[in-house]
Amino acid sequence: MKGYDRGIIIITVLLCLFGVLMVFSASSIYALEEYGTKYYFVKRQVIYLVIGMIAGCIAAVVDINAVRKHIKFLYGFVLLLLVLVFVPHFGVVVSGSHRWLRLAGFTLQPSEFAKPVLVLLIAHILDVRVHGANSPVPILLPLAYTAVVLGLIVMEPDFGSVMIITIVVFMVLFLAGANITSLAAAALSTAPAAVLLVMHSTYRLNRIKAFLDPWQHAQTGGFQIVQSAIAYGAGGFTGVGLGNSFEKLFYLPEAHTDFIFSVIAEELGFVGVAAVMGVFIFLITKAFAIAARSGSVFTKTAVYGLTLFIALQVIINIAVTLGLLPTKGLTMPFISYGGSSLTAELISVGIILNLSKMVNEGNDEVDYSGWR
Amino acid sequence: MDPVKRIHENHLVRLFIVYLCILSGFTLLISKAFYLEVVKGRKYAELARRQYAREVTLLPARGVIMDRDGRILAQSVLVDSFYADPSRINNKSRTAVVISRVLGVDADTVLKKLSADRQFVWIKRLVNPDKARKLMHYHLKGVYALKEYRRFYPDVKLASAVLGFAGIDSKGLAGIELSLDHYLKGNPLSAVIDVDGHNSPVYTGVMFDDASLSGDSVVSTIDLNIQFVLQEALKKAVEDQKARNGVGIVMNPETGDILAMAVIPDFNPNTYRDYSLSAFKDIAVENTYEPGSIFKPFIVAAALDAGVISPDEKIFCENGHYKVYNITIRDAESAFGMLSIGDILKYSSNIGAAKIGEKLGPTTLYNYLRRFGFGSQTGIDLPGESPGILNPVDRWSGVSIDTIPFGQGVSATPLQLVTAMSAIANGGLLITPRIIKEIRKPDGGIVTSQPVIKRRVISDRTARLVTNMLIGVVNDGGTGTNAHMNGYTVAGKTGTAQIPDPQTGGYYGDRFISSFLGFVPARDPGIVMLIMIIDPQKNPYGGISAAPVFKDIAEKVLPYLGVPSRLNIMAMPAEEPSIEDLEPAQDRATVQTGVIPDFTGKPMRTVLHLAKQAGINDLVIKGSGYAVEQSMKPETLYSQGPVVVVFSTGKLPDSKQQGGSKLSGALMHSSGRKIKHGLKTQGPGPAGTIKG
Repeated sequence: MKGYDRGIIIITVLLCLFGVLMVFSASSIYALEEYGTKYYFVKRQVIYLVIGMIAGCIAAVVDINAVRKHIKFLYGFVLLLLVLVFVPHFGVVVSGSHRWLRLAGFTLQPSEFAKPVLVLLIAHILDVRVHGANSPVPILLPLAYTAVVLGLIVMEPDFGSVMIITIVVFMVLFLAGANITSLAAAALSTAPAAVLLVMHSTYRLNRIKAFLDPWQHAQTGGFQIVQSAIAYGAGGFTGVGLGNSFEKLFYLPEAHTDFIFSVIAEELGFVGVAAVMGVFIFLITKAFAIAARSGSVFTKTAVYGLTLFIALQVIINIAVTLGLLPTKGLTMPFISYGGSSLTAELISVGIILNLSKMVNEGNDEVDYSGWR
Repeated sequence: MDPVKRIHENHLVRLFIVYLCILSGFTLLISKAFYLEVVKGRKYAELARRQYAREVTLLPARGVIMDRDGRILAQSVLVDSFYADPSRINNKSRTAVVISRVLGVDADTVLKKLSADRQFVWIKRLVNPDKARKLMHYHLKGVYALKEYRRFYPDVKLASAVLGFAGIDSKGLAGIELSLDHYLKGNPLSAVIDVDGHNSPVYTGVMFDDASLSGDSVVSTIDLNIQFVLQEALKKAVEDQKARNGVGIVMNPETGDILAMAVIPDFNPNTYRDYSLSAFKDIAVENTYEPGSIFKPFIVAAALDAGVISPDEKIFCENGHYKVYNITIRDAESAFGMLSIGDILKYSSNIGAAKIGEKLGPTTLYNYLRRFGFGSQTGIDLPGESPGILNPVDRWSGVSIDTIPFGQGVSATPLQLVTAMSAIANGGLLITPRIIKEIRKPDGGIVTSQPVIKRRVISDRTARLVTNMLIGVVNDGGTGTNAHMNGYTVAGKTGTAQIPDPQTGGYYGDRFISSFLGFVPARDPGIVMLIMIIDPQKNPYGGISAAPVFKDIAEKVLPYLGVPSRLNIMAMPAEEPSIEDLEPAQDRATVQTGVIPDFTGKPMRTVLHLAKQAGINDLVIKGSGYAVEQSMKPETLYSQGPVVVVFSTGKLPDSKQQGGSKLSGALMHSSGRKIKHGLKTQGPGPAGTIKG
């Protein structure tokens, strides 16, 4: 444990345990009705947590330089998984989208793993170019690698992930010191693509319409947003008490996944909401501090990227429950029910911890001569 | 410039910008959360409440119906009703198959229900508990259970005609269930409960448990054991005779309590859906029948009471053929010449009865019949009571005065006949038949119904005269000898009424109502009973098909009620008294005026007689049956003040009851009745007013 950032470890574990508690609270009645046992989801969540913790620990002790050597191979592997979701025997189609792979009784969401891999690849590229070759921060190459991943995810389709990956990549390039004018030009050129995508997808259009006037579309798309607002309101300042949510009784859809924060708001009130947000801000700040201290472009970029994924996912998820953004299908990191996202997030935290140890021990800067 | 250096120079600024973006994002979120939860919290909480709340009507537990000793005849139990939300069922055919197998309903019918484009369909209501448990074991998705009350009748067909039944929504639809529905149903409570997103109540358990909402319990006057004896015997008789229907009533002539009332065919109120509507008719109160010969005692009583005939008068019975206007009245079995009044009843002479009717004249006859209760409802607490048909005199045909006396051209409910006979049995008083003994409120309050005496119909002396004649009917040579009992003196009358043919306006030649109407023991009757076999195929004679049934039932009921048998008591009157022998043996025991007699062990009539002889004019009677206690000691001098005598149908004191079998019920808890004697009342007997 020596050298690792203890604050990040404690916060991550606390968030995960809190997540198990909230998943149980939000899902037990639904599970009882749907599967005949109230432990259906919480049991699985505990299994995911164990798997995620093991994966996170491995990520925390693994030799990062060895990972960097094989990062392009990892990237290729993730691309293969993203393609496999479209192959009938491997992919699982859930309500029209190909986001899942079937794997030994469990399902796997490759896009969740694409995020950290992409960040590591970009960090590696920037580090090699800037530090190793002493050239300016490249924009096109990282964007090209990103575009391939985005192209596959768009086809799933999973617009939430597309959006968050795009924002994180631009932010990472910005933090890495990329030329602002070039970055802005690249950003502007993606805008028409975004508009086109929205227009060609009716469900997406409906979601936006529902978002603009949720009460009008309360019986269709806006229903979730209305129920979520009711959950916040019913919660009040101190909440209705842990386990006492009424919205989870089949009013609020996806109460244990995308809208788990609404259940938190209802059961624990504004106090709980503020506390959870505060904990996340603390986590983000701690991670940013590690990155800021590092002299390595790779460490900086990787930690920023991995942290930003978590930060943006938290912000967007909460914003959706508050009705500030259209529904996305994005989960709450560490808290929502789901194996792939939890595992990928714990691997991300593991890598951040791995890098924090290197930074604390002063050996995060490597000899770049071999990285061409 | 070195790119690495440049990056590091700009770095903190860029980090600050990004960090600020993230923090402002969180700030925006926390502000909106604060707005929703704290600022607008009340509005949304109100919205939430409105969304969850449903106003529902809670049906309370329906009250229990008991027999007179508190044995349960009908009660409501909570059982499961299953419904489905078809939109939530994925595998409809499998679900339908499981339901059909467990509940035993048709799979296709279930599948059709499950395929409906609705979110609520009943699958099966009021399911047996073990079947419900089995079905719940399957955890079928989209199939739900709801607790509802089901009416349960533990004794199945017993007293079905009296009880009636309550339907699926706890609404009384026949019998006591209908007539006392107002008490039994309780107060439906409108309540607001919370429901989940599937419209299922969230807190089901508490809503039905409020006992204060439940309906009143009703204690009927029915005695379950007597009912059983009556219903079984009647059923057997109807089967033996291959008859269409049977009606039987057992009543206490002193209190008017209906101890048993049976209608055959009976029905099972637990499965009332299996029957047609007509099966629920309590024909003992809803139907009227031309009574036939069992009507004759009332004519004789009227004529004796009016004084138009004397007890020892003889009437010429025209040797079996009596032409009146356009019809000929015949005596069924043999041609009679001169018959005494008693023999007219004993041999059931139609001509004799017709001639007595003529002596009475239409108006007097009509008035007496009205006083006996014919042509008006008895007022029993049962639904659909018919008043019967007793036309006013101006609508009588020329022969009505000759046919009504033997029970044609008049119709009465079986209950009216029993009530009228009670008036002869109890010394001349018309009493309102009671089917309800008590109403018990959920809060513990009890409303007890009191016996209601409507009026005096005939004098006590007339009653005793007719009683003695009716004893003759059952004795050797009478039409009712099959009702003769060892140990008890039976008074009664047989009836073999022709059934009117609505097509011809005459009577069917081969369809009859056989009946026996009587009371026992004749001198201090414990019960009045009517047995009516409608349309028997084997033997139409009431004396053959109905009288033995009367006897069989009375043989079981009297010992049960603790009525002492003469076989066990030495000092009882001779079996066949003369008409002059109006008082039982003990009654004539000399009593000194001004000395309190020993009342204990004596029937009420004897006590009244002794008290009168002793000059006690303020006698308070409590209970009924036989005297067990008296407030002033025997052989002491009486000056003034009330003498309280407590009666009981229970065990007699001393050795007077030796073999009387046990009795568990029939203890009357009527309040003390005060009987004042006075010579100003009509008739020679201890007539007087009785206040209930």
